[in-house]
Order: sequence, then structure tokens, then C-alpha cells
Amino acid sequence: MDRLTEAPRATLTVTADPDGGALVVGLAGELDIASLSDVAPQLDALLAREAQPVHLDLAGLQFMDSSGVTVLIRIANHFEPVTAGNASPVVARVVQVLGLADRFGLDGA
Amino acid sequence: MEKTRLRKVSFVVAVLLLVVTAVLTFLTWRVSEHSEQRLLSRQMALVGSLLTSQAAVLQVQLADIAQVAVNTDANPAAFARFGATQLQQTGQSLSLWRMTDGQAEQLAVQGVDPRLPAEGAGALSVLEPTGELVILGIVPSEPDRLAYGLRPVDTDLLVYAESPLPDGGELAAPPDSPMAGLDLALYLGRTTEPEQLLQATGPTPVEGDTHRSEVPFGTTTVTIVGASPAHLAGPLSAALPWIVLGVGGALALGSAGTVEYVSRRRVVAERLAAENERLYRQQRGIAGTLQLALLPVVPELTGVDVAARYVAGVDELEVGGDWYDVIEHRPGCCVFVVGDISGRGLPAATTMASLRFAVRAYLAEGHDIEGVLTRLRRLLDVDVDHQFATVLLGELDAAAGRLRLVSAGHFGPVVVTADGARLVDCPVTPPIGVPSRVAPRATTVQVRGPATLLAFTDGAVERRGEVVDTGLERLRRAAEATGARPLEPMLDDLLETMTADGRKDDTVILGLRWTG
Repeated sequence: MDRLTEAPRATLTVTADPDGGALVVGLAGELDIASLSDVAPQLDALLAREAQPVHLDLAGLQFMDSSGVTVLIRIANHFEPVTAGNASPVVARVVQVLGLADRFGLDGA
Repeated sequence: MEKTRLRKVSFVVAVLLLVVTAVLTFLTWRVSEHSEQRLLSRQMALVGSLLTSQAAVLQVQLADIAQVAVNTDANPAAFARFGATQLQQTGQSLSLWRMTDGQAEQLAVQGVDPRLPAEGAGALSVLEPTGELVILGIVPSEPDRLAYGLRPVDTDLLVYAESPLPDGGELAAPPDSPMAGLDLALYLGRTTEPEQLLQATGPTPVEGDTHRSEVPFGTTTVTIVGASPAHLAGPLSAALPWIVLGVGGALALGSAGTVEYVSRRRVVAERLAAENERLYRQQRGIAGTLQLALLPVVPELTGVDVAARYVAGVDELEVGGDWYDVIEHRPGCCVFVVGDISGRGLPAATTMASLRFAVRAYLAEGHDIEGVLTRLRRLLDVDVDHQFATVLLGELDAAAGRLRLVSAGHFGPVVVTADGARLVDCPVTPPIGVPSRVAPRATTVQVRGPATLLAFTDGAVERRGEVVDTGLERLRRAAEATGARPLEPMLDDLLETMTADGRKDDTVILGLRWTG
């Protein structure tokens, strides 16, 4: 249990673009199997919204493992189109290795 | 464990404390009894000395009267005058006698007439001229009388007296007398015959725990029989054994109850801990057993050596969903699979199982690896299962040195040849569980033997805080360094190198070696 309490928490925030453009979803912290439950309520609330353009802001995301990628995939499956930006090299590479770079418009940073 | 049964330790505590209480109660009772006996005997000694002094008073009284008679030459008027001053109670008889040749002659009487003992005046002949008080006995009358007399030295005169005894022998003792609070009976002589009763403070014979003593009374003896109906040492002393018994008993039962409570609480806590431990082991056991059961024993193939390593993650409770498989597709050609389910625990293990058997089933149906991958995509949906799987499927024709690969989100293999080690670049389609409209197309690579292929899962190369390419390069170099060794020790070396800096996730490394 120490692992859970010591690990930096992951956060998911949703901001509506004031210009009426894409919904901005910010992911921050370390998104792995242990912190997946931290963002679960916000993710469910987000996926309950109607399909619309979404932009993923990954600037605050320091680490992401394959379990964390499920969050990105579920967002990508629900909304159209989905773009992503500001990914750190570590995060971008994880997406790329999984063959999902095209899907998020990430060029591998 | 029965709930209603008293625990042995509580029972022992209760019995032990009750025994201690019983012993203490007994000791207290003994001490109380002993002090009671001492108090009784002291009080009776006091009564005794009182009797002795009364005898002395009587003796002096009679001696005085006798002396007056001697001095007045038995003048009846003087006797009457002096005797009247000495008579203290009604019913008393005082008489003056002269002894002549053993015959007693009455000279004067004061008070009531003497009754005299049964043998009449002759009884007075026992009075010797010694000046001593002689108790002659109890004369039956209404009430009985105590007869006593005294004959001064060298004279033929004697004084005889009878004093009425209390009616029925009973005499209430004044509250401040030594007899107060006691059941006492005084008997003339050494026996306690009813007719010898002088006086008593209550009904006779005295009942209860009696104490007996004899005191000299004139020329005879008075026997005192006493008992204490109430506790002389006071009510607290009497109640002390009961207080000890009550408090001790309550303490014993209370302590036993406390011990019982505490030990039951402890048993409950231990049971809960054991239950938690069992559930923990069970969960870990199910997932772990399932995963190990699902990992195949590597097959014996013609022309290809196969070896595999699986290491569980640091958090062994949460087994991962890594797996590998090697299937002989057709003679001289094998298909190998390395996969990884995102997520952990029982759900990951079960998904892994279904995918592994699905691969075998689709191959058995005659599909090539592209067809297998396409069909695997139908089995998992990240939106429903909240899981996806990365899979590397490869087909090796060792004799021809031809390798075909398809990847769904998985790393390509490392191939070690005489030229060194390299990471085979193969196009990656999205993982299984993620919708993909792109039909997989296999990459074909020519690898002339002797060569070694290493397929692996992310546990071998991913490290927190570093780009995965760093891990991939570490693996490539390690493979190059140990490539000359036999396959089994080579995998051991690799595992050691790749997990030296600590590893969090499950790790699979599958090795194929062919000489082709």
C-alpha cells in the first residue's frame, strides 16, 4: 500500500475552450497501473459527454505505462477527432511503440 | 472454536483465584475465631477473679460477725444488731451457733430462718475452727439457697448463712459487668449438674462454643461455663471472612471474565488476520497459478532451439499478463508469440489465456499470422474490457532463414548474428483491443543462421524516467555481449543484466536459435 500512497498522483482535468473549439483534456503526473484509479471518476465523467473534438494536453505527464495508455485510447475511441500535444519524449515514445502515434497525431516528438 | 465454551485459561484463572480466596477466607476465619476464643477466655478470667474476690468479701463479712459474737460472748442482741448491718438482700439468713461435743445449738437468728442442709444441724459439724469460709452446698428451697459458714479459730461459736440464689438460676448481668454479652453459668463444685447451678445469665446448659474454667471459692470450687453468642471483637471482625470471600470471589470471577474477553478478542483478531492472509494467498495463488499454468513448456523443434524465461513483477500479488508461446506450424516452420496484457491480476491472466488459445486455434484453422492478428482484434475491446494487449507474432522458416513478423503495439525482436545484434524494425499496428482499420501486413526479414532471435515484453526494457529506446539499446548490447553463449545461459545472463537495476513489471524473454 505504501507504493500507492507514495506514488505521485495522476490527474485528469477538462477545460472547455473559450473560443468554442476542442475540449482540452489535461493529463498530469505519472499515469500507470497504480494511479489509474485516481483518474477513473474524471475519465468516466468525460466519456459521458457527447462526441466532440478533443485535444489532449500531455505537458504535465511525466510518465505513462501501457496501462496508462488505455486512458488515451478510450478517449480516442469516444471522441472524434482527437489530437495530442506537448508530450514529453518518454510519453510520446510509449504511444509510438504501441503503434498509436498516428491516431493521436503525435510525430514521436 | 466454540463460542460458548469457556477458554481453559479463563477457567484456570477463575479456579486459581477462587482457591486463593478460599484459603484467605479460611485464614481470616481462623484468626477471627482465635481472637474470639482469647477474648472469651480473658473475660471469663475476669469473672473468675470477681468470684474469688466475692468469696473473700463473704469470708471477711462472716469473720467480722463471728468476731463480734466472740467478743460479746455470743450476746444475741449484739449479734442481731451487727448482723442486720451485714444483711444485704432479702431472703438471706444469718444465724449464730455454738458447737458442743459435735452438736450444734442455735443461739440467734437474723433474717429468715435457716433451712439447713438435708442432714439438719449436724451438717454444721464439718465446720472446723479454722476461720475459713466453708461452702456447705445448695439447700433446696424456694428459691434455692447457698449455704455457707465460718468458725473462727479456737472457738466453739460459728456463723452460718444462707443466701437465696437467683430464681431458676438466671440473673441478668448489668451491661457494664464482665458478664455482659456472655452466656455464663456458674456451678458449685467441679461438675455442671443442674442442681449445682449457682447462677446463669441465660438458659442452661450453655449452648454453642463453650469455654470452661474453675476458680477457688472459699473451700470449694466454682466451675464457670461460658460462651459468646455475639462476637466479642465486634461485627466487622465477624464479617471479615465473609467480606474476604465476597470480594475475592468477585475478583476471581471478574478476572476470569476479563481474561476470557481479552483472549476471545485476540482469537477474533488472529482469525481475521489468518483470513486476510488466506484471502491474500488465494488471490495471489489463483492468478499466479493460472499464469504459470498457461505458460507453455517450450517445445522440441527440429532445427530450432527454444528457451524462455518468465519472471513475475516486484509486486507478486498482482501477476501481470505477459505470455509467450511457440507452435510448430508445419515441418521446419514454427510460429512464436510474445504478448502483454495491459493491467494486472486475475483479469489480465484470464485475457492472456483466451488470447493464447485463440492464437493456437486460428493457426490450427490454417490462418497465417496476419489472419491470426486480424481475428485476435475481435476478442478484446478496450472500451468494454478496459484492457488492451500488445502482441508480436512471428513465423520462422529456419531452413530458409526467413522471418515474417506482425506486431500489434509490440516491440520487434532483437536478432543476434555473426554481424552483431540488431533490433528488427517492423511496422507496428495499434494494440489488440484498439480499433484499427489498417489490415496488418507482415514484414519479411532474411536471417541466415546461425542466428538467435530474442522476443521480449516491456518489463525487460522499460524503466521509469527513461525513454524506452534506452532500454532497447541496453538489451541489444547485452544480447550482443552474450550472444556466443549457449541459449539457456544466454537468457539467464540477459535476465540478470536487464533486471539488475530493479524491475517493476513482469518480464518475458523468449529465445529461438537456429543454424539453418
